[in-house]
Amino acid sequence: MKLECAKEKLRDAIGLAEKITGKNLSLPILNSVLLDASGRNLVIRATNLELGIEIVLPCKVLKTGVAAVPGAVLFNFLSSLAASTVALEVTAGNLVVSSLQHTTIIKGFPPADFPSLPRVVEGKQSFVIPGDYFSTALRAVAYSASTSLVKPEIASVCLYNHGGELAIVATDSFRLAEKVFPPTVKINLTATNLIIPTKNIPELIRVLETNTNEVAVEYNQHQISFQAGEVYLTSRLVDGVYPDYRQIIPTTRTTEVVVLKNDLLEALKLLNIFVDRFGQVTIMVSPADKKLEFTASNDRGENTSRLTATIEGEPITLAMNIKYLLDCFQSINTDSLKLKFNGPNKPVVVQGVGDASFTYLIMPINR
Amino acid sequence: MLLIDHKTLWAEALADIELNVSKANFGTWFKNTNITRQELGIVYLSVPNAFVKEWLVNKYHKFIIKSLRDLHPEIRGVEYLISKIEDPAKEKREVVFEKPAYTEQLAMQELYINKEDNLNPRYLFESFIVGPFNELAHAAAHAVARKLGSLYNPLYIYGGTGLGKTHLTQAIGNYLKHLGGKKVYYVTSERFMIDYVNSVQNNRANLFKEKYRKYDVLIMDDVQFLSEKEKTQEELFHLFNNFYENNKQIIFSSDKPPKHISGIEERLRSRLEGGMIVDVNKPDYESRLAILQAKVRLGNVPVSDEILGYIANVIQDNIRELEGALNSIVCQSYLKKREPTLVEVKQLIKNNIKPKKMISIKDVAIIVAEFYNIEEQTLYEKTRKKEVVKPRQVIMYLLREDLHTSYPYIGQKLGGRDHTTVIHAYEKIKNELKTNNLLSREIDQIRALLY
Repeated sequence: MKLECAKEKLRDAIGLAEKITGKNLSLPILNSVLLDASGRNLVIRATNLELGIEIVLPCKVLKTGVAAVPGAVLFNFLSSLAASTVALEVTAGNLVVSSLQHTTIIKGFPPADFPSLPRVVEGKQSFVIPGDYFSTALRAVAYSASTSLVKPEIASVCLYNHGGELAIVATDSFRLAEKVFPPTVKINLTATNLIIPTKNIPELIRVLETNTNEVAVEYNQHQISFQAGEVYLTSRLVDGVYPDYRQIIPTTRTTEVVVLKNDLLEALKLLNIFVDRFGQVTIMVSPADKKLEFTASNDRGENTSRLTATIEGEPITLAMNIKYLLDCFQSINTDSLKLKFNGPNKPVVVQGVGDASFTYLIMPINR
Repeated sequence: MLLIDHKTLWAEALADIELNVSKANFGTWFKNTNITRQELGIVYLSVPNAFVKEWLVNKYHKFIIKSLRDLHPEIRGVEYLISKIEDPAKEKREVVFEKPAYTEQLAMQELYINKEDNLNPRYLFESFIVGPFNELAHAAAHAVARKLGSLYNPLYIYGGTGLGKTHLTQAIGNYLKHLGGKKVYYVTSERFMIDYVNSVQNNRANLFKEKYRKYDVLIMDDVQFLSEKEKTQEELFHLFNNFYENNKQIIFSSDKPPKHISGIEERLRSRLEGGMIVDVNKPDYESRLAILQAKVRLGNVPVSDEILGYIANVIQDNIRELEGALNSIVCQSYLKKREPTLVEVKQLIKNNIKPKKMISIKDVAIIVAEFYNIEEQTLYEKTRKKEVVKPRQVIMYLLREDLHTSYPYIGQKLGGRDHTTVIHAYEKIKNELKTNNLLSREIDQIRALLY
């Protein structure tokens, strides 16, 4: 193999692929990225057996061939290299990277051992989705997914099809985040749900963000793949049924509070210093004096914050985990937000005012 | 081809493959693979994911087929299937993980109620604990689940709150859904009413009828709330007839028998009574203990038998309260990271125990007199009129049985009677209770008034 290409592009591609290489696996070759030069392209491939990535990089191929080298080493090297173009060549199974000033040899693995990536073939279905919407929506909910693998279907982010209306959801059964695609985004999805394991989501977001155009998605029962420009990413799907979560989102409310997002955030940051190990913060809503009061206490001290808010409905007091409440701020982009209560021990709904596309549900702490 | 034991075949093949493949490769690609079935010379190999499948097909297919053929030349091919494999190590982790479930954070349990039929998958016959107090109801429920629509239609289960009516009715539903493939629908009477009112408001009464009539089995919980809701009752009446005519099963639950629900129209009442009426009583001590032990086993928490015995002893009326008390103890022991002592437990569930109302002899006399509609004063007189004698004996019985008052003291308080009179009255009522249903119902009602 012998080729020349722009260093920046190669570095970015290797950076993307290197994140997906298998860490701590018994098979050392999975730490490496595969470089496959043929025609006018260099194909870079990496996998950790959960995810697989393949990036096509146009470059000047002088001689076809393959090499497998540790991804982290190559990426670190390219990041520190100042040259604008590099030449890659394979000699005796090792990769020789040369620029004007430097010649480097990176020890390689026998490329024949590098696994090929699965393609979605059997029972293939496909649709197209705008990359930017998709990555924002994933970002908006991913933190809510369960981190325990005991229930694989909720240790994941789900693309849920409500009869044409698409939503991305994640829950760990204590809170739930849902982001609905705007109706202008037409997606032709036939399955009711596609469940992607949470630990694959950060890589998926990273890939989608490199490409804001249409992303072609193909899936079958076990596998899903995304073609975003030159990048092909494939992930395992969780084979299961996602809980019918819509039924637990309350449609009614006994108390509704509208409060400025920044006021609330500021208060929560103060409270966060004084919460106990359950992260417990007590919320008292008093419609009579239009006050929203938060208290938290631990052995270091206690804090009470009072916010002015627009309140409708009955007075209510409940406690919840502050972490869950803080988490949803990253997904709400409006100036003020709405808290809907349905009585003690019932889920609390959080939404941005004027933005119904994101819904966040928190279960209170039992007292 | 002879069917060879899948496990042995694959183990032998793996032993051969292992020799030809490096250890790291073998560990990565052949872990969690299994033969799931063999058909017409094709071996179906289950693999954990698409990555492994892809690589086995591309790289190791030849090895695999060669090893298998060496063992059994009849084998013609290998197919790869992706399937979940239960990792024994993972199951172990699961148990460890379940423990922190006693934190205070509430979980969305409703997440797992099926919206289609409102059935909670946790309520199964298997998890229902049968004791003398509910065995009739359990047997009837089982019979209904086996012989749908023809045996006892409707099945009417009644009993106090927290005694397992909902569990039992839902268990029938789940059983039929999973094994019979029936369309089951569980609805509370309140939900039914709201549905009906909505349908009337939106002029969609027809849709309402259709919605309910498409099911094979209808379970309605807490029918007593239909009292005084005449139109809803009428709708239920028509629905009932429809189900009954088509031999579809209907199951009701309530906190009292149909006779005692006021504000129910006669024609509906007679239909409710038309099938099988069974009651769920309060659990006896042994059953309460068995229930607690089952819960402890399910939750995998260490609580000593002594403590369970204590809880079973002090909480008598309600299984739900029983569970509540156990949960608070479990939560406490989780927080303290050790098993609670009996003293702590007593302190902890103090609030769960209903305080015993103080009842005086006078109270009993007043209430019994009122119940039998006689003057209280006549009880203390030396009259032997039949209408006074019976209430007097009932009072004596109750004082002895429930309040453990001494015979001479009872006699003295009730008009200076001899203690032998009291003993006679007590024995008489006690014996009569065994045969006389009416009397036992009267005494139950009096007790309800008293406590």
